[in-house]
Amino acid sequence: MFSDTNIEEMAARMKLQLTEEEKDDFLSVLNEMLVWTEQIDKAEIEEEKSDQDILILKNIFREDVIQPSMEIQKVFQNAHDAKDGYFRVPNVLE
Amino acid sequence: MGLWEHTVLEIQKMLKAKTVSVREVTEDVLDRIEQVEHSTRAYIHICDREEILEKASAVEERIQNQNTGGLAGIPTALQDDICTEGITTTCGSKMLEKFVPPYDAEVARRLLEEDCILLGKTNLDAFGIGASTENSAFYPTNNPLNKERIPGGAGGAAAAVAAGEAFFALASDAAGAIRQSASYCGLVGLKPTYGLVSRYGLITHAPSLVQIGILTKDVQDCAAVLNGIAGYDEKDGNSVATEKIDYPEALGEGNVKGIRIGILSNDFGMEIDPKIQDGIEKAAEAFENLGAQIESIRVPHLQYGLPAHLVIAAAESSSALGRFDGIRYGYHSENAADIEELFVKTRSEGFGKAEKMWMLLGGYMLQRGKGAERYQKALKLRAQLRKDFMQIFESFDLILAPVCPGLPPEKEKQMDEFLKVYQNYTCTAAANLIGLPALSIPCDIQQGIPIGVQLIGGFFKEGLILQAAYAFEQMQGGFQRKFNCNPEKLDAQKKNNTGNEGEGRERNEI
Repeated sequence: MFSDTNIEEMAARMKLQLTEEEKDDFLSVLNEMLVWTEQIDKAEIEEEKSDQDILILKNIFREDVIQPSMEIQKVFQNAHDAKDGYFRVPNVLE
Repeated sequence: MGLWEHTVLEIQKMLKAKTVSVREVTEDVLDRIEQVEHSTRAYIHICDREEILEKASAVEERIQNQNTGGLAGIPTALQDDICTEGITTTCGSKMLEKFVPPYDAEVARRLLEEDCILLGKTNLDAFGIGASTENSAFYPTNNPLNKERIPGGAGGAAAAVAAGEAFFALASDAAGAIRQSASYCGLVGLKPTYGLVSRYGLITHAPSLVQIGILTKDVQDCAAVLNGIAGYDEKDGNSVATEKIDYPEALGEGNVKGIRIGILSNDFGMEIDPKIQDGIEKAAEAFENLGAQIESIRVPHLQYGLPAHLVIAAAESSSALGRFDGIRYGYHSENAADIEELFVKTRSEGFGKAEKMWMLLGGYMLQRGKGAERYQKALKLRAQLRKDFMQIFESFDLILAPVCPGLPPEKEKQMDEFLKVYQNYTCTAAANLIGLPALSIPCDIQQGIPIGVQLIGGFFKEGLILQAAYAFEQMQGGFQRKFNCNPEKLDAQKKNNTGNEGEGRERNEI
């Protein structure tokens, strides 16, 4: 179940910072959903194979042929900041 | 009768006979948008009128030179989670409010190649998380048939088609949004088999569950549009190369004689409104009168379908929404001291309540311990449900089921009740879990509100589903006119609207 502490830990993992109001709001809703999904824990099933893919999929290989890439200008058109063909970001290292 | 009131096929016939021009049709729909959009709020973005009309004239020329695609000159709308090159694609969110895709989604490319006229992008719950369009970061969409009720998860697309603001629309369906909105707005809504229609360029929170589908006024239109968008695409890793089917031809004469239909009215693990049950019974009777073999069926693990779906959808959200970092595209928070702060501030400010909760729940499901065990169980249940359904399809050709557990909920009633909102997908989510095709078609009216019935088929059995739906629709006798083309009703609702709702475009939370 979610608690005051672990909801913050989970938010940090999701790169989110919750306001106090959000925390209060979310706790009851999330726990309500968690309790509701508990019903599947005890479901009796014959199928022991889990299903990652919903259709039977095969790996598809294609020839390693050079194809045109997206124009550089298009790649950066939505970037907040870009320079010389790179995305510019705030400091990564101190 | 305005041109906007017609179906795709009727317009195609008129264009062929040259009794109307593409420009006339397009202008009529644009006028219709001007007339009712402030009331429906179906669109997030409407393309520039002059540019649309220029395109209409160009298509006109190509029609004269007989050099056009099958949907040439038909004005259409795309839900705003389908990427369109050069046209803002917000996914109903603040995170992508200013995102202008550098490429077209494959379905958009195919429709443009077919010479469709793109009118604009329709409203949806942010990142498709919700079942009412009330979770759009911009504004809720109104159900054009009843403004007190929600229009469902693909509400913008459905409202646009139902109100005559587009002849058809494409939307997405991760839990049942297309079918639910079709049911709430009196339309035909199809979620094709997972893999039949390319999802390249679709922004989603649940990649293994979602499929692009179609909202139309009737079954013939649905078949015509499916012809335009179905087919293998190497850009979608889950696309399946199948034999090309001519769907309008598959409709045949709408004969269901000898088709075995299993009636699924229980086992959902939730109470189904007697009005809905009543609609299913009437539909079953109609199919029997048409010569189909009808029998009640049970799906042993169906009650676990929706909770398993929630576990998987939330888990996928926590991963799929991880890409929004404020660097390459999307919302960017100002004044972050370092990159970590940029991620956190961007995501905390850019995502809404529902997306945050979905990610938190999904993170829980993917962490070691109880969460991961439940996620594994949900995947096993997914396999089990597929087995259950495949066993049914050994004895039956189609399944007839409710679309929604009740009539469309009243607006704002469930806004903060996330679980309750989600439970509106009780009858539709299984098809997403398994990847089966399913269609919603109007079957009844209760308190002036349409009710849809769902036809579910085996993998890639869209032809059979459409054939049965066509027979049913013909027997109902032009259901669509009663629902979709009712300007008086809309205008009356507009007059009764005392809240000045249409004046501004106030936002939900931005």
